[in-house]
Parts: sequence; structure tokens; C-alpha cells
Amino acid sequence: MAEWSSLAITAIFVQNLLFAGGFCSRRFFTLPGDKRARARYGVAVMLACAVCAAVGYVLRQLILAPLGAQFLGPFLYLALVALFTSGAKGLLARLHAPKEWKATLPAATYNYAVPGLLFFLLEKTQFRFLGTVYYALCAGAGLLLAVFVMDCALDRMRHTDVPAPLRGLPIALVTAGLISLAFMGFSGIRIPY
Amino acid sequence: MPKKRRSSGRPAKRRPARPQTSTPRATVGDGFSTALEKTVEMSAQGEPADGARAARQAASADTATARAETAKTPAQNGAAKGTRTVRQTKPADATSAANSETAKAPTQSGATDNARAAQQSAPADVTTTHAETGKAPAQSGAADDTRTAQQSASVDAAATNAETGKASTQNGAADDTRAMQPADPADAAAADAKAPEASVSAETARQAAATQRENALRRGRSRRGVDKHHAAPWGHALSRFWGIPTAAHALGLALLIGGTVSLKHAALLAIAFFCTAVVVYPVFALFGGRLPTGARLPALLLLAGAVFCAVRALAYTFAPFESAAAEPYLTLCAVSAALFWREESSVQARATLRRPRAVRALLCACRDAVGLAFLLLPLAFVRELVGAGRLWGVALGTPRWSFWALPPGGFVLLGLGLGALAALRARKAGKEAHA
Repeated sequence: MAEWSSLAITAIFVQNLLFAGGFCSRRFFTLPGDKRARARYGVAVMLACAVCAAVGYVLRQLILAPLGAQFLGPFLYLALVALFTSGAKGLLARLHAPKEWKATLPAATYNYAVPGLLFFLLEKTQFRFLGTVYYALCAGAGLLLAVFVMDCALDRMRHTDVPAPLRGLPIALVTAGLISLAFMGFSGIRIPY
Repeated sequence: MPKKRRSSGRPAKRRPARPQTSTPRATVGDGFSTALEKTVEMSAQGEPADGARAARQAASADTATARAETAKTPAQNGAAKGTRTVRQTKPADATSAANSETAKAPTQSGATDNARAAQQSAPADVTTTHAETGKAPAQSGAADDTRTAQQSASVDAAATNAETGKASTQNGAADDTRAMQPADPADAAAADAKAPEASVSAETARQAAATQRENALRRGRSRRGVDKHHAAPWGHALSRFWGIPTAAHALGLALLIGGTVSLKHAALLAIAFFCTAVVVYPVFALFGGRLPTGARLPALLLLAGAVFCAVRALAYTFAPFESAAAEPYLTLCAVSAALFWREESSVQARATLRRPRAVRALLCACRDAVGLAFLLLPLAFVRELVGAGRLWGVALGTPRWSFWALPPGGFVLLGLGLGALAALRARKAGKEAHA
């Protein structure tokens, strides 16, 4: 149990996709002001991470590793992302899902977070299947947390007198850097197990 | 009954040109109000209007005459592509007269291709809106750009006369000149009678226009919400820097944060991005339009992934250690190429109402790669020098502040760098406005 907790803390805080890896795009700084939209975006990223990691692990173990074609890994991961988006859109259309989800999905998938996480998980770690999926879910949850934290910070920033050249993206980046510094404090935590 | 004319593709069946009088050119405050002044200000500032140019004029009036004219003149060698459509909606009284014209000039060797729409709406009581949209000669390039003239007039006692002209386009570089045409004497006399009120509203409108322009510059966007330099063809990379997606829209942040730990990594990422983008952009510009809409993004990602596999193999061949150390950011070059192209094509399509062709896409790829390198290399220089006390892997013995080598340092440094660039840009814009 402690091992899973440690893994979750690592994925959510220490190796946060946004603050530790910089796997982000402007969406993280310019999401619409609706909290539901933010939650939808975060959940979509989390699902995309988990599903793509699971399928990617299986494909890598079943196809790339036996053939010795690990150099095709990036192509496989990008293809997975593309297939996931297309499949999910088709599924949502068939289930008559709300329009917002259909609009959120491509934006949540086509960013640096999902391919970066896939590469990191499948190429740089030695997790097994469950560990891979669990870590991907937790990393998605960390991204969701980062989206909300950044939004709260930027919301406060709107009411402050920021110097003109720093308004907008520059101050958002500086804020992200400071929050990232705070998140680095979690790296010293050791959970005994 | 308001007239509604829609321009067809037929050439040169038009009224004779309005006689040019010797009346001195209209100046701000002499009875003409906001729309005119905005046009004057824009032409005085020399805004680069190489792609789409929108003249939005807003004036509020009781008895107003809003007139927007754009003269269209023959194209010499190129094709004067573009049919302007002027729609005018006018819920006015019986005293109002709306007159919209689309003047189209004979083209010498070109044919009209595209249809461009200019919508005007004049929600005034007594308002005369007269809009003409035209196009000027394109010598060796194709004057294929878009002009959108939107007017909404609801002015107090003002006569608004705005003419938007499109000037010669030479060798693909479109420069706009906005020529002021003399007004009708009757209009001028009516406007002079209302001069004091008009001058007050003109002053207000001028201030509003200045605020709007300042905000637009601060956002890095033009009046239409389109980055000005995106609409431009290839130019000097530094002068076009502001339109590069990394600086303008925060694309490629992952590369900038994680890939700038050392100069070697940054150079490797810049080269990998360049090699990927140079192939992805033109290929997708050629064939992407033939795909169904829903399949374009997946196909783009697949293409980028396939190209990147070759680039990655080359990178591992020539610089195995650096390539292994720069992973997974090296992989994200493929994603960057796809995202950058998506941004470029959409912005260019918005600016010029057409998807970029292969050559233009190739130039965009070079521009984006150069722009990304301009951000990657200085960041990596500072972070490696200050954060690790090294330069290109060689220890210099300088003091080390590890903060700058970590991701928080990357965020802060990038934010400060973009802020410094924004300050420089605002300073430059202020100088231009002052001049």
C-alpha cells in the first residue's frame, strides 16, 4: 500500500507533468474560466494518459520488443494518441455525448502531456502493466491539480497590478515557476515501506 | 429601401470613376469623424498590412454619412484575385440612404478567384453608409489577400468618409497604402456645420482608437485578432519574430522548459525540429487539404511521427549521448511540428482566407524553426552558464545557482525573457507612434 502511495505522490507532485516536466502548452494557461470546463479538460487528459499508456504498454511488449524495433516507439506513441482521439470522438458521437466533450477531447489529447508521458513511462521506466496504468492515472490527476492551481493563481493575478510587459503569458510563466518550486519540496519526502 | 449589391465575377461593368477634385485631402477633425480618422491614423502609422486588412470603423451619429471606399485598380501582371462582396444591413428611417458599392476594376491578365466579404452594418437613424471596396495593382505577385471592411456607424452629427485603398503588391510583399480621397462638397459643407460636435466626438474616438491599438499591440495581435506577421510572407526572421507561435502563443513550452538545460541539447532540439518541420509543413500543405476534416489531425500527427523517426535515427547516429540525454524532449519535436503547423495553417487561413501552399509552408517552417532556435539557444546559454557553470559542456569554474538549471528556473527565465521582449516591442511601437 505504501508503495502505491509513494508512486501516487511521485506522479502527482514530484514528477508533476506541468511543473516538473514542463509538458504543457498554452491550454494550461488560457483555459476558459468555467470550472467545469477545466475539470472536463483535466479528466480528458487523465483518461487519455491511462488508456494510451495501457495500450502502448501492450503494443510495445507484443510488437516492438519481439521485433527489436524500439526505435519506432515515438511513431507508435503518436499513432496511439491519434487513434485514441479518433476512436473516442467516434464513441462519443455514438453515445450522443454532450458537445463540450467532443470539443474538449482533441485539445486535451493533442498536447505535450500525453506523448511525453507515454515516452517517459514506456521508455524510461520499468513499470509493469498495472504500475504503468496507475502511474499514468496519477500523472493525469497531477495535471488536473496543476490546471486548478494555475487557474487560481492566475485568477488572483487578474486583480493585481502587474507591470505592463509582464501581463499575460510572462507573469503566468513566472507564477508557474514559483509553484513548481513549491512542488519540488515534495521530492524530499520518503514514505517508509 | 436599402440597396444590396453583391459583386459578381464579371469584370469592368461599372460606373465611371468619381471625378477627382482639387479639394485638399481630408484631415482629421474637419467634419469627418471616426472612421476617417482611424483610417488616417492607420495609414500614418504605417501598419504592416500584408495579409488581410480590416478597417473597422465605428461611429455613432444622428445624421451621419459613413462612407468607406476602397478603390480597385487594374492588376498589371498578376491575378487580381478576389471579389469583394459588400453586405449592408441597414435598419434605418426613410431619411437614411444606404449605398454600398463594390467596384471592381478590369484585370489585365488575371482572373478573379476568391470571394471576399465585407460586411457593413449601420444601426443608425439617419445614416448614409457608402462603402466601396477595391483593389489596387499587383505587379508581379498575386494580390490575393483579403480585405474586410466593417463599419458600424451610429454617430452624432458626423459625416464619416473612409476610404480604404489597397496599394500595389510587388513581388509578393504586400504593402498597404490608404489613400484619402476628397469628399463631396455637399457632404463637406454639411459636416462643417456640425464641426464642433464632430471634433469632440473625434477626439473621443481618437482616444478610443489609441487605447484599442495599444491593447492590440500588447496582445501581440492586430485589430482582427490575427497576428500581423503571420499573414506576411517570408521576411527577415528577426523582424517577423513576433508572429512565431512560440513567442506569441506559448507553443513549444515543453521544449523550452525541459530542453534548455544545456546548449548541446538546445542545438540538437532546434536541428531536429527544423528537419521535422521542413518535411511536415510542405507535405501537409500539399496533401492535407484532400483529407476529410476529422482525419487531418491524426494524419498530421502520424506524418510528424513518421518523419521524426528518421530524424531521431539521424540524431542518434551523429550525437548518441546528447540524443539519449535530451529524450523525451527530442520526441516532442514531432508534436511541436504538428502543433506549430496546426497553428500556422489556421492563422494563415484566417489571415488570407486560404491555406498556405507548399512554398509558403516551407518558408513558415524555416521561420518557425529559426524562431524556436532564437528562444532555445539564449535560454540554454543562460541556464547552462548560470545554473551549471559550464558552456557547451566545458566547465568554466563560474559560480553555480542550481535553481536556474531546474524546471522552476526555466519557467521564471522564460517568463522574464518574454516580458523583456514585450517591453522592447512596446517601446518600439511607442517610438513609431511618436514618430
